[in-house]
Amino acid sequence: MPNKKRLAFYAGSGCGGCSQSLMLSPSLATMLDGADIAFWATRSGDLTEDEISQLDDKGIDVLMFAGPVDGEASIATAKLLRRKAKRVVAYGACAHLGGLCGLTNVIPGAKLRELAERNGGFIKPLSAVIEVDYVLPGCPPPQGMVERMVKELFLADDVPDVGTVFASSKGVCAQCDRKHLNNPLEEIRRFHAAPPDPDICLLDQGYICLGPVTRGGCGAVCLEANRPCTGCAGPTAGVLDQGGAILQSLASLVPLSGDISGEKEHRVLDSIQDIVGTAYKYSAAASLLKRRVNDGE
Amino acid sequence: MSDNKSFEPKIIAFLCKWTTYAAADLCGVSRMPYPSNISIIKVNCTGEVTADMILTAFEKGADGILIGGCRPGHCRYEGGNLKGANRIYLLKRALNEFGVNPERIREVGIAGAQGLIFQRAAEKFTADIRALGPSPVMSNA
Amino acid sequence: MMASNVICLLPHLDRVELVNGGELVASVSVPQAREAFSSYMRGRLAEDVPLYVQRIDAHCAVSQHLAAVRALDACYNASPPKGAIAIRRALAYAGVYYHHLEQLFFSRSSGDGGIAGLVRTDDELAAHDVLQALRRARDVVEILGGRGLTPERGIPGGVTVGIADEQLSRARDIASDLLGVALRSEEGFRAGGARWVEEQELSVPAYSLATVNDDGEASLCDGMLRIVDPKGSEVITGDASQVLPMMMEWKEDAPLRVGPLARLNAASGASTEQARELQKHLFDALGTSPIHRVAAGNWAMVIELVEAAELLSSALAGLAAGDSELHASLDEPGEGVGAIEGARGTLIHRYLLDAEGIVQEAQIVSPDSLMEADVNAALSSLIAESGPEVTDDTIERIVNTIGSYQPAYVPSAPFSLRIVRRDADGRVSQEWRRT
Repeated sequence: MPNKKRLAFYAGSGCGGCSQSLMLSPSLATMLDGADIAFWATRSGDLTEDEISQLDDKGIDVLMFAGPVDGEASIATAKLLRRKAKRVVAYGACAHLGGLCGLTNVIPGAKLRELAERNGGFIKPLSAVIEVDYVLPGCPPPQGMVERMVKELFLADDVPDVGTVFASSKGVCAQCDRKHLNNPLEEIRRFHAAPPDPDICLLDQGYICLGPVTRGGCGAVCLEANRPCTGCAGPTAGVLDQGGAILQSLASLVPLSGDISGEKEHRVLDSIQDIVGTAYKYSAAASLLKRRVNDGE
Repeated sequence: MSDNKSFEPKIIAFLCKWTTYAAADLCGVSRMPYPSNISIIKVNCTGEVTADMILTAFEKGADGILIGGCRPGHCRYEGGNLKGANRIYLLKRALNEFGVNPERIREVGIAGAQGLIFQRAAEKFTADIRALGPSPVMSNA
Repeated sequence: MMASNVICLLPHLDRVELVNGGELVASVSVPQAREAFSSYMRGRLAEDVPLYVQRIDAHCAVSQHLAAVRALDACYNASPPKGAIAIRRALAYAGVYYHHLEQLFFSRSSGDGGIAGLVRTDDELAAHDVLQALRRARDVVEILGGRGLTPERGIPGGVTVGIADEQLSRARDIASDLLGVALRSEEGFRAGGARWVEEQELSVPAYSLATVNDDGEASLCDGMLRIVDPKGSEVITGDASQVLPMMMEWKEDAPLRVGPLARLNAASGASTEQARELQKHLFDALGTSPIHRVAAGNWAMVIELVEAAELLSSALAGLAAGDSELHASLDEPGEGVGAIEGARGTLIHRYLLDAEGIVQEAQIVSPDSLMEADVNAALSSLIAESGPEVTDDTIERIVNTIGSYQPAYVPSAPFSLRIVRRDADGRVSQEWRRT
């Protein structure tokens, strides 16, 4: 048996879903057999700066970092942890993209601004603060992706290439069984009014689905539950701005009416509601614009 | 903004090679100067200007983005410019949600022979962006 | 440090403060993030709400999801068809089971005072079995809810889609195994933890709030809300909108309690056969009804693990695969209140939607905020008893006391605690930590 790997899990804040997703991995026992746990902290209070400082630099082989990063305190902790770890995984949507928390960067509202300012900043993906070696996407990461990470990082002899994202390079559509009809987008439908046909592509039916612009590997479970993909695994390889990408796809699906004023097309596009919550649900903080600005109305 | 007079906006122009780009080119050969604030990126069609391209321009510090294609109904690629226009229309709504003034993107359709019209459009857009002031997006970094 | 992620509304407990200055007081405070939550949700699509709220607290995501869905039903004045209600109920029970098992074995102190230590795991019920059961409970949540930790199936008016035949029979198989694990956990608890509970004398008389079914038995999903006073007499029974005003402006002489112990007190008994039998042991051991002994919350939770498994089995038996009527038509959107008897206690959501079905206002009344006063009353009397010295024993007792309430800020394995003593100027003069 080679030297045991030292692993650590850290979630400074967050909902607890990431830590559970790892705990529920069927390979957990095997993973722990071959490893020492340096710490498994599920909130900032579990581990102080002092305690982290006392750890050896690069003494941790793999650090899994979950939860959002916002103000100075959490940035300082992230930087300190980076020094202690040879490899860092951005674990889950918050660390990968800012996650649902990132929406607070964009929502106008005095209360939120107050909160953000009190914490000295706005939500950032981990990669904006420290160098990230691997990404495990998802909110929380789906089992298949967790398994892949555990196998490649902890059970294999070789370490995966830096930059590996433990998900498919293809979109969610690749694992979706629905029939694709290439229908034009003539009307946006809200799926609560009546549930969609479970066998036909949601976009074909006029429901906004982020499947085409979102990394797959999740098994398209949401689609199987007759819900659209909401984009939790972030943009597909090569796309920078997930929200921009879906808006672009939606615009392209609207058929040209032939009327050069574009009035009919605009009517369809205007009926897309809550653009930020729909296109940037998990990725607002990782978007190219990053947060709401005040452009002097 | 008080210091707008000294503010020199950075403008990225995505121009269709068949029309607006040709018009800009014509300005050059005809010695019809247009503001040096404008940096031109030649594209095959405004329909190929992606959301990533536009948003990256803002991220890298563009204060305004000029998108010049064919006039509506005259696209070489059967409505590529109209598809592009729909994309911009939706993207402007997103920009608005992020607090970015959608007026920072302007679309024009100028035929290749209309150098004068390009010159005026470039001057007008530069003046308008100067009036809007620097884009706040860069401060997000 | 509280992160600015308002979606995580139930922030983590960083400290219990013992304020020195005459009186010695211990308290936890649940930061009120109501305004922040409402402004976060404003402008979001109604049908997305259940996806956001379940990520507030992934340990009981199912409860949050279903509370939101029920509030949205009310917003749209929709009556979901029987088939949809049956799926939601089964999902609720699976959620309670998952939560309780995780709380009992993984989210709590594993020291000698902790519950995992109180359930004898030396024989067959090894950690491996429990972890396996937890995974399988997650699988049932996935079958019923569409996604493992964070379900997706609920929408206003019903559910998105039915459950395939083979999935359903798989869920039924798992459920009977889960009942086995629950029964063995209860047995293990009675062998080890019951005596511990009997030794913990800390008792806080409180009003109890729970959801009850038509027969007045405890419900782990929907029903009428009932509050009983510390003596066990009914104060009010009604639907969420009738009981909410009293809860929000609590004026009674004792705090309000929610969760497993409150359910035990407010209802006539568990709604399932085996759990009802097991409750007798608890009442016999403590000799009172209602029970106000704080540590009994743990015992009540173990019994509820059995109850949730029984309920899950019978709910799954009643589910018909291929039921196509799973969604009701919706009225014009408006305001709605929805309650669910969540794993941690009664959970209430309220939304105001505009004519387009976009959220205008949002509010969550969580078990954490409801039981804040109760937890603090318990901590105060604990400190009064222990005296001004903070010893390891005091810290252990604080941990166990807070843990007995199963608040959302605890799930961490094991949860850490920082106790500070401040001087008159508010400076920290002494500090104790337990991790």
